[in-house]
Amino acid sequence: MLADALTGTDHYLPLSVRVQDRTHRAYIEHQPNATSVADDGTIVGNGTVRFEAIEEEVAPNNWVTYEPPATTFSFIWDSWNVTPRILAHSPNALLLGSNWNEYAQISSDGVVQVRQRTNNSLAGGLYRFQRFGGVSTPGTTGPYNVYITARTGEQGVQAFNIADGSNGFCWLPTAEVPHSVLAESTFKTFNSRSFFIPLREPAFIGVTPGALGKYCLNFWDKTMIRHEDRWQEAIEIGDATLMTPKGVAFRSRIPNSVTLWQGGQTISLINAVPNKDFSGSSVFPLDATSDGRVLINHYSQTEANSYGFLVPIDIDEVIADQIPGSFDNQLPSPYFGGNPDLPRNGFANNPMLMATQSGQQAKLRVRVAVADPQIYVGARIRQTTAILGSASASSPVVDLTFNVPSFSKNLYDIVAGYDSNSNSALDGSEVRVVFEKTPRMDKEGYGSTANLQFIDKVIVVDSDQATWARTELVAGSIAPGAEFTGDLAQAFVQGSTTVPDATTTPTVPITSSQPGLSHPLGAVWNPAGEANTHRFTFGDGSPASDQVETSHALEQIVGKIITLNKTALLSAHPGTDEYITSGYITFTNEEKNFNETDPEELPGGIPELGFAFGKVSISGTIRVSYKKSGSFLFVGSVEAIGSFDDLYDFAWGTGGWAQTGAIVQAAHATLASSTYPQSGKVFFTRLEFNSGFVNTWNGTF
Amino acid sequence: MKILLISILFSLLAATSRGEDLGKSIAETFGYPHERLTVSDRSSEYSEKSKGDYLYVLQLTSEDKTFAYTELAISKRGVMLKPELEKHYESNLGDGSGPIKKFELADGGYGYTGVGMGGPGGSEERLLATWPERGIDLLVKIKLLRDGLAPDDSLEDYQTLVTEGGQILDEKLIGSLNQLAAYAVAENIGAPTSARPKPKATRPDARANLGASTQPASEESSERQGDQPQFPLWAWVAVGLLIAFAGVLFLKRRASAR
Repeated sequence: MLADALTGTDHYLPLSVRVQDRTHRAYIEHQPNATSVADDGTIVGNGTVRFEAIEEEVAPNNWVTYEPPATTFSFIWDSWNVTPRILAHSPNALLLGSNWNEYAQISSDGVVQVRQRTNNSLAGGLYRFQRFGGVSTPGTTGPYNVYITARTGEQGVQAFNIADGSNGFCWLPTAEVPHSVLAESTFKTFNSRSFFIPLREPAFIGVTPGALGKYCLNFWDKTMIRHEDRWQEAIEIGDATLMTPKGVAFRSRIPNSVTLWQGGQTISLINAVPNKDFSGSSVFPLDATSDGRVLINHYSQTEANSYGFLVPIDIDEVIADQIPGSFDNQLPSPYFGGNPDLPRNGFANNPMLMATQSGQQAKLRVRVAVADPQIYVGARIRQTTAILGSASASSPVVDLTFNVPSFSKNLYDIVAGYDSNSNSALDGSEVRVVFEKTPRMDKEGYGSTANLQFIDKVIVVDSDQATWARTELVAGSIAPGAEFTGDLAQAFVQGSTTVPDATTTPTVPITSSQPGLSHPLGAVWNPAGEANTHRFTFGDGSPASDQVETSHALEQIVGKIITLNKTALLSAHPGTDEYITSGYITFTNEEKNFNETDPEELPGGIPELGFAFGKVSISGTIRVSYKKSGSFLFVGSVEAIGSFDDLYDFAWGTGGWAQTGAIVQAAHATLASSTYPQSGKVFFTRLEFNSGFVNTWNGTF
Repeated sequence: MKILLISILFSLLAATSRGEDLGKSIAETFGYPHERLTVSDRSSEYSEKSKGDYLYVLQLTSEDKTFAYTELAISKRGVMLKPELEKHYESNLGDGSGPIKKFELADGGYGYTGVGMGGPGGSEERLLATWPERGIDLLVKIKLLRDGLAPDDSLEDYQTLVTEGGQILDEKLIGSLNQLAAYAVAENIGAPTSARPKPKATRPDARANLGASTQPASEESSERQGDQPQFPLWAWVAVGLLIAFAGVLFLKRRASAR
């Protein structure tokens, strides 16, 4: 059975091994002194492949039959002071372990679990998962996402994806991922977790996007040899490269040996001469050379503990800390915009608008990729270098405060860097990363080609600005001729819950993700992103309603509905020369932009509907009084009944006077005046109309 | 008769051309490349719509929506700057630190900045002035809609100017008003006058609004145009007649040559 796999006397290790039942497992007996390395880098040894019956059945999953694609392959030779053993394998991978008290399972979907043999509980520890020689083809045998849980007390959570032929593992500090998080049934993906990449581990892995590949782009697709707690390169053909998406700090245990790399560069690894002697020891701190290349230095064995960390300097999220406990205003956004052909496809809150809690002091919470006390985050005015304020990233979420100039409309960069000079602050020259995490695309996925200077910036409204904005808004809103447009603006500025000619619904729920809400501002959201506001309803007969009834927008809708129903109307008519009244014809969500359909009649006029409501979706019914002549429909009068709902909020990107409205909205809750504490609160509006039968829309169709 | 019609056509074309020149000149005041602009003279339409209250209306747009809709208008006095509106502005001038500011033109003219208005759907930045001596009101306004301007990195300065507003935009608006007022004189819109308007500040704060960066340029422009002899409509008609006459003679000679 199993012995059938062994043929000949000299073999590369391990040989083709087939485990056909669950009562046996194979392992490799290490014979250190008899090892050599073949020209192609394959480790060749005279070790023995042994098979051993296992005491108990491995449950619950069946082992997967393994048959390697070739008779030779590279593998990690691990010298953990114990004989490496094959714990589990999949069609194109092999798991080597060190502890006979454990066993591993590879389920049919490729998931590996390591369990204690004594009680079948999940185990952890240091395991190596090695891809066999040859590149597996994604989709043909996988993908296999392999996760191994960490054992309590051990540093190490390893994640693999062998779908793309990559291998290796990354290492998470225990503090970041306690064992409890990685419970038996929990297979973690590390989408946004902070992690360290210790050099002593072959912590360079090509993994699926969203896992650890965020920072490790197939860094080291080569075989490594480990000696004690250090690793050295064993096989290398050609330079390996690492593309650093963001800044990276390499900090070794050697004092003051920090090396900083600017993000986004390709770093070549100059290969050290492989030490193929298993008993040899070398560690390879990485130092950036003057041209940005990374040199792998050799250190003597006496520096047994010399190793370093690659610490990504990066910012994952920027969160406005304007209203305590409310963190709905944040970056990155799902998309950006910047498409000249489709300007409406932009994300309204990118740049992110916020206000100070008081005065000129802005507060942000910055989530960093990796917490490190010498990494600092800071803020600066775009296109400048001076840091307005900075804070140490000693924890994953950093409280950052900085003072903004009074009365400015600056865009602020949120930056990160390494405190190289240890002055406990981020200097302008130390900035390595400018925050940008929002995808450079618009709502429909088209690439952003313009306005990229605004992406992921922050705009901060200060108290002076808020006071001025309220004054300007009031001056415009109470101007003669502004009527209901002015009434609404005034109610917004003053936080009033009444508006002339409108009824108020006092409590209406709203969420920070309310469709149409340009900025998650203008309300005090609870932790779930919910708040209450009010609604003003302009009923039939109100000036606003009357304007809608005589609007071109409604005229267009009525015309469209009659045209769409012309055939039915004609067929329903008896053919006499008399007007008859149709039944109710419903229309739903007819989108109209009053700015386009109903601009001001004359240059000095005020397009009230456009200003107050802009684009709306109108629903309702019409009845038509008509007669027919042949194929023509003569409409004598029409009755139109309907309504639309809207949200009264301002978008910074509109600019001009509306931008002033956005400032007032941003200032809600924290910078509102004592006279009008609810100033800047967003609210809903509703407009209802019932024209009765009128000849406004009569004509021939 | 034919000659008369041709001459009228010529004179109308000349007036249209000068309107376009005004539009282009104003586009340049704002730093927008005029070749990307569409200039529409809507004077006749609005005059008819308002039964003669509106004397001149020029609309500036761009097809690619990178330019904020801009409108220049001249009406009879009191049509745009209505008495109640003027009263409102006056009562909100305060100590000069508020958003509404007043500036003066030569020959008794005056105007207001910071009189924009709008709502979530869009807004307008407006500069409204009146010139009692000529019996006209003048308006320069920029309209911004909620969807914003189409992004164009080459126009960042212009787009920032019109969306963020502030003192520099006020200066540009006043510069535009200067040009509109000069146009009114050149085209003899409103009552005739012997002098061209020249904006001047009445208070230090208002003077600051007029701005050093644009004022000299517009003043220089105004002076240059002001030094030139006025070229009223009848003169254009005469020139048109001459050209048409010459054209007819030329055609006749070509016909006889065949």
